Amino acid sequence: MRFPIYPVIAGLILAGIIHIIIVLLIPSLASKDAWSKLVTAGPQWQFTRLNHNNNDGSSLLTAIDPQFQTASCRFSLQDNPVFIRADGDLPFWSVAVFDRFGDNVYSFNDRTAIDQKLNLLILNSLQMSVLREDPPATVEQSIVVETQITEGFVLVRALQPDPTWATAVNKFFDKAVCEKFAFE
Amino acid sequence: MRYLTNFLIVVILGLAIGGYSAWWAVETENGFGSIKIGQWTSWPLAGSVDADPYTRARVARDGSVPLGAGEGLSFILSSDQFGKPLDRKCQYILSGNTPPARLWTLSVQDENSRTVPSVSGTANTAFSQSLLRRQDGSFSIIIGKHPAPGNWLAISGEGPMRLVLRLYDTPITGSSGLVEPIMPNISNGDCVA
Repeated sequence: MRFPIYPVIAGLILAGIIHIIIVLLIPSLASKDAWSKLVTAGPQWQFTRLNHNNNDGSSLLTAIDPQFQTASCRFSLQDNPVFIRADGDLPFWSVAVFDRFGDNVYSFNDRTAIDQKLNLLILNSLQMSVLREDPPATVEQSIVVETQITEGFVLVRALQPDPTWATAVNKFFDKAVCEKFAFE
Repeated sequence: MRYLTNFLIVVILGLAIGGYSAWWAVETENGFGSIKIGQWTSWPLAGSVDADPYTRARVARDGSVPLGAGEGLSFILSSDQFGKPLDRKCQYILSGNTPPARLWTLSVQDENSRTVPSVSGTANTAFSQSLLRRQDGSFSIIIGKHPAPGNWLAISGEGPMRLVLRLYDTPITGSSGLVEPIMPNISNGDCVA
């Protein structure tokens, strides 16, 4: 029997197609991605601590810096923008906005924020145009992020340099607000 | 019969090579979208909208939340200066300097990206602001199970490990083009069980 050259070529082409399909499908099929884990962890419109009191470095999401306390809030821009606020005298914190597939839409840290206060308004284009017509005084100090996503989550990471900072970090997260923003 | 054989060759080749190559491309540390500085690897675009499909697949499969461009950048080191995988039964010395950053942390992960705690069960990190340094600002950190003088990053258990260096609020993030930042070097100490 001679070498099956055509079947082998066809097999390699099929291999290429399967390779591309698998790689492209992983993000939408992954059952243990960040979003799926957050859905089981807590409700929307509420900050959920991801590694609170976990001294051994374990956390709900993979590969979270054990030197940090982290919390996340899931939101949907379907009806309202999301308004996020937190305030505390911490040495460092950073915020990242992710869409439902774990893609980072926007990120910044306390140096970028006004007065080093976390004050963030996330909205879609339609809500942005409503806001532009008559900007309420409540969002004067806000970092306003316009995005195309409908569902997503916000991740706040706060540095805890050593255990003596635990009280301050806990207060920061206890007072952190993640709520629907209502136009007057 | 001949058609069946040909059909089987096509399907088996397609599934085996396609499946394995996809798994390999997502799993490997030198994959698409990664940059190497010395022995350190980083995925500057991981988690961003501009990431390539392989980096996206990797992030989704890990269920991780990579640092955003405005937050910082993380690097992974999983082999020593000779290219041998890091082993938790050995002691390693990491010394030198890091690229400029407001602060940085060094922690140890196992092969599943879980933090490796010390023997007492608490997570250990080397933190840039509580580190003994030499007069020129450089440092050395000893990573190992057994207590060591100076900066000691305690680990526990057996098996492979990797070091994770996270730079926070650093100018070398994302798009700025990484112009050969200085990274700390690793060297081997003793290996005891």
